[in-house]
Parts: sequence; structure tokens; C-alpha cells
Amino acid sequence: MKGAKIGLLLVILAFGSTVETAWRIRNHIGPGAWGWFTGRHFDGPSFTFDAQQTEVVAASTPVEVENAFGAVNVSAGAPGEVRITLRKVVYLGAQDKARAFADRIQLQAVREGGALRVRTNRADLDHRLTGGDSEADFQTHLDVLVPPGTASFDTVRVERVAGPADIEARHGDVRATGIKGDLKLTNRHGDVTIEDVEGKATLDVQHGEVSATRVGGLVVSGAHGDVTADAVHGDFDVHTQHGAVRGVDVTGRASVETSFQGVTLEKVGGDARVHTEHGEVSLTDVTGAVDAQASFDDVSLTRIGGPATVTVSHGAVRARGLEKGARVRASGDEVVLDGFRGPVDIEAERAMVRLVPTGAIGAAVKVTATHGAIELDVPAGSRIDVQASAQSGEITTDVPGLSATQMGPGKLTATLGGGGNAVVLSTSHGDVRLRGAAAVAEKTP
Amino acid sequence: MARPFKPEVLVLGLSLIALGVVWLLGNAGQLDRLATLRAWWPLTLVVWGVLELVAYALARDERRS
Repeated sequence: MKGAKIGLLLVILAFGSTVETAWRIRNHIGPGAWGWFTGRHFDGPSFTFDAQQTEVVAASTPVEVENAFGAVNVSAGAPGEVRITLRKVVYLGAQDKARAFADRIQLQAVREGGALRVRTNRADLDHRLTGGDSEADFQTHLDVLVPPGTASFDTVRVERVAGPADIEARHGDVRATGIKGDLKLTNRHGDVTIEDVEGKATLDVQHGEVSATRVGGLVVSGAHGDVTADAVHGDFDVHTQHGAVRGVDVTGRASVETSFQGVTLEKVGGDARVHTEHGEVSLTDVTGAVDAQASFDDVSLTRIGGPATVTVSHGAVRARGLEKGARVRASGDEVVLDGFRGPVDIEAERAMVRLVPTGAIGAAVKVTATHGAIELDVPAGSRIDVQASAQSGEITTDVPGLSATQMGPGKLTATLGGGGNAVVLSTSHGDVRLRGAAAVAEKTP
Repeated sequence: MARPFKPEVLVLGLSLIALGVVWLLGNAGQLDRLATLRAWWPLTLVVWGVLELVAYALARDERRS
């Protein structure tokens, strides 16, 4: 190997070692002097200064708040005025220098287009926003008290907040993006849109829709509005009414409760628990266990990694790819498990039950039905002990090798492959059919 | 006669470009410099290895021809 190659290799390894060392220092000791390199800010000694400003406003004046690198808290205050408290946190080593710099941080409350816009002059001071160096790092935290009841918002907009944000609003939309800490938000009669919240977002929203993208955990409580979430890096917890819920790409567990609308979850990393009344449930690619309850509509499960528990009244259950079995209580429509492994326990009323195992049956299968037929595919290689009964119906089987030990009107006891897994099929006012591999292949080539 | 393909020159050039881009985006506040470098620096070795194999293959073809 040439000297140049060896030299370059040593340079790369030295560079990598330096980066790894810096990473460990930052994570275990703190950034300190590495701040210039790591891009992290707001470290070292700091001094805090407060400023207050009161604006007299007419009733129903919309209020808009803009802030970067600091918390925002909007809540109800005295009638007829907007009282703003600006807390400036300046990161400089000496207090006099920090005070001088803080004096240059100005609160701006200007009327634009009939609205009162609250912001700071950060853009004039923070040259990092335009690619340069700033004289000092600083945070601006805003507490805004708005008139109660009389106040309404066209839009509350909060962007790039370095810490937590606490927002209360009514009669208007709220948009919060780039929140480094937790977000707590309450809104009535307006939509809520949040994006890029690194902390946990806790939303209380009524009469408005919720849209959340890239959040570090999401808790929503409310009513009368749909909830849509995409890329939740944590748990997804929704308790609402009269609102559809859709969650995609949830790394933690999902817990959803709603009514009169459906629930759709896709790519859930943990368990999923869903309860809706008068709405359908659709769960796809759930890694953990599933507990789904629904009424007056269907439940659809696709690729479920854990055990599934489903309770539905007046609706169907359709599932594909159940890896660890299912326990189903259903009435009013069909139950179809097309592709499952593990134990299955089904109670169905006024419903046909159709079961298609993924492979040879390797666990117990129990089906109790009333006013509905039962169909079970029996793949080759299954080792089962069959007990089937059909009151007011008949039992038919074309499973090769199935050895009947007892047979009578509406009853069958049989063994296949030496037995081992109990298959108990019982129905009243319906037939029982056991389909062999050949019959299965004939229908599903 | 064409100059032989030297992977280390290409690696050095690409590394400098990547480093500059990371630094630029860091200054603009678009990414965390350290986290980015820490995640991606081993890619330098991977790219270099691939280029070495390419250089070896090119040299072998040249010898055959």
C-alpha cells in the first residue's frame, strides 16, 4: 500500500475517532466548548430579564403570536387588553454585557390587517438565521394574556420554539411547528396543525380537526373533529367523539377511542387498542397485540404480529395475516380469518365463520356459532382432534386422512395426523364443513 | 497514456465536499453537525473500498487488453 493511502486512512480514522469522542463528550459531559462545532446553543451562563407591554384592543381582535427559540403561553386575561410578558434569557458570561444585549431585544406588538401581531425583533439580532454569527445566544419566552370570551383568534401561529409551548385558543385555527420541547395545546372551534414537535404533544381540541406530523408522542382528547397523525415517535393516544381517527407510522403503542366514525391505524410499532361505536376499524401492520372493539360496522385486520382480540356487534370481522391467533366475539355479519397462525377462539351470532390457516394447524381452534355455517380449511400436515357438531345442519368433510372415530346425525369426532391440537366446531342452524388441501387448492389456486 | 485511476484522490475530494456541505447546513441551522458526521463518517471507508475495487477491476482489464 502506498504511503498516500496509509496517510489518508490514518486521517479518516483520526477524524472518525475525534467525532466519536466529541459525541461521547456531548452526551455524557455536555457540550461546553464544543458548542461552536456541534451547532448546539443555549449553553453556559445565562441571565434573565423581563419586559412587559399592554395593548388595548377592541373586542374580537384576532391575535397572532410569532416566536422562535422560546416558549409561548397564550391564555385568558383581563377584558379589553392584551398583556404580554417577554422573558429574555441571554447567554453571555457577564451580567452587564447580557443586560446590554437584552435591552436590544424588543417586544413588537403591531396591528396588521385588523389583527394584533405579537413578536420580537429576533430577526434583527440573531444573525444565525441568515447564516452569520450572533453576538450572543438568547431565548425569548412569551406569556400572552388575551381578553377572555371576547377574544378570538384568526390564527395562532407558533414556530421554532426552543422549549415547551403552552397554547390556549378559541374560535380559530392553531398552527405550531418546530417545537423542541413538549407542546400543550387547547383549542375550541378551530383546526389544529402541529409539525415537528420533538417532545410530547398533548392536545385538547373540540369542534376542530387535528393534524399532527412528526411528533414525539401524541395525546389527543376532544370531540367533533377528525384526528390525523403521521410519524408519531412515541405513543399515540386519542380519546374523542364524533371524529374519525387515522394514525400512520406510530413507533409506540396506539390507544384510540372514538364514536360515530372509523379508526384507521397503519404501521404501529407496539400494541394497538381501538374502541369505536358506530364506526369501522382498520388496522394494518401492527407489531404487537391488538384489542379492537366496534359496533355497527366492520373490523379489518391485516398483518398483525401479536395476538388479536376483537369484539364487534352488528359488523363483520375480516383478517389476513394473524401471526399469533385471535379471540373473536362477533354478531351480525361474517367472520373471515384468511391466513392465521396460533390459537383461535371464535364466538359468532348470526354470522358465518370461515377460517383459512396459513399452514398446518398447530394450535387449538374453537368456534361456536349460532345461525351460521362454519368452514375450516385443513392444510396437509395438520395434527388435530376434531369435535364437530351442527344442530339443524350437516357436517361434511373432504379432508384426506381424517379418521372418524364417532359419527352421528350432526356430530363428528375424528383425528388427523395422530391428533394433538383440539379443533372444536359447534354451530346451531348451520353447517360445518372441513375442507382438505385438495379442495383448498381447487378454490384458491 | 491515461493517468491511472487513484481512488484516494476521489475519496479525499468527495470527503471535503461532504464536509463542506455538512458545515454549511450546520451554519444555516438545518442540521446538527456532530450528529450528522458521527452517523455518516464510516461511509467514507465504504466508498473508498468500493472505489478500490473499481480501480482494481479497471487495472485488471487494462492489463488484459
